[in-house]
Amino acid sequence: MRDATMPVRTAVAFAHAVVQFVAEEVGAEVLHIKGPAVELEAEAMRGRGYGNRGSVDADVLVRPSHVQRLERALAMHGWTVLYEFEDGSPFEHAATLARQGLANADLHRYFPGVEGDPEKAFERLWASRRTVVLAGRDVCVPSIPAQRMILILHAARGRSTAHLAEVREAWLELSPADQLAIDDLARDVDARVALAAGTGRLDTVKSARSHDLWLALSEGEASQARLWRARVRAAPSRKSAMRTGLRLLLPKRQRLAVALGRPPTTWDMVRAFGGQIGRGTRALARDLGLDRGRRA
Amino acid sequence: MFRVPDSVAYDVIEADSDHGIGSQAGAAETVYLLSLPDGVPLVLSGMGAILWLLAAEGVTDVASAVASATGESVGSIEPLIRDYLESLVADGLLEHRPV
Repeated sequence: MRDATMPVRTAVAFAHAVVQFVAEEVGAEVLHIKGPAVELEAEAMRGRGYGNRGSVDADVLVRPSHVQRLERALAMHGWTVLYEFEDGSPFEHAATLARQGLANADLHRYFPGVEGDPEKAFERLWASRRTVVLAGRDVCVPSIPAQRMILILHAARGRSTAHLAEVREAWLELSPADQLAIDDLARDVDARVALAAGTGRLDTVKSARSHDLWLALSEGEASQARLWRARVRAAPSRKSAMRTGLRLLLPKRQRLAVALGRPPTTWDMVRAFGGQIGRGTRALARDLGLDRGRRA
Repeated sequence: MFRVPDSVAYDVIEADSDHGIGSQAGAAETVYLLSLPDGVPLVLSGMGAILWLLAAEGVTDVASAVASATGESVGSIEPLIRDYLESLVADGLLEHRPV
């Protein structure tokens, strides 16, 4: 009865089901997001092109204080960490876990674009959760406005300008009441800037510290240096700006290991820095106002 | 009477569609099954898939349902179907519904 050609959608659905099962075992609260967890009412926010290619992994938003518990439990069930949070995107929002025969699971500790306290934001989403059936099992998903918001925030990261254009069209086709519900939610979880980027309203949040970051992302900014500066500026404090700036310059150890096919040595890490250290540090100093009288 | 155990996930692929979850038994071609949380994905296809779906959907007399659809006599197929469904119970892919 084994089959080596199981469809990707089945592998994804099964990964969702396993994560839900293990989460219930250890009392971890999770919301299934994107991919097959999106309900029909929120489908339009996927866009017709980019978003409909189908998910290849199972995306799950985990209550931040339950992340470690769930990671440990999944490890007990044979899942291995492919990428830790700091090895993933510059937002460091998700860890990727893998188990043979299933799709990967992306455990999100927050969703990029949500700038409020992650625990409070999760609680806001959890309070209005719904239940859907996935792979024959009940799983928790965010409310319809939250599903729509998450898809808009995802599109706002600008990986496809065509997709973002479709999402903006879908936004305009929503009723005023539906738009208001998403705006209210975005206000509660402090996702107004990313939502504005995803819905073509960035001019309404010009004074926000993360405005430039979401402008750059949503316009598909190609310059990594400009993106890096925008991320540093978006940090809520000087201390976190410094930390963000430096962390973004560090080579991703796990990604380097995958590229090399072996654990990286100290020398590998040093080489991976390349010329970034000097260049990045000068730019960081300028952005933090620590570099008076010297131009980077 | 049978039902799907709480610890089994499944995905139904219809014969002419790639959106099979929640499909009707008669249109099903393939059923993928996974015992949670550590099982290996399994697949049932053709008549095996249809029998699992009929049982999973709570059809009380699977043999009679198959007999009426195929024109076979119930007596000729009932032992085979009973053995097959009991093998699925033994593998944990179905369970008897409490009476």
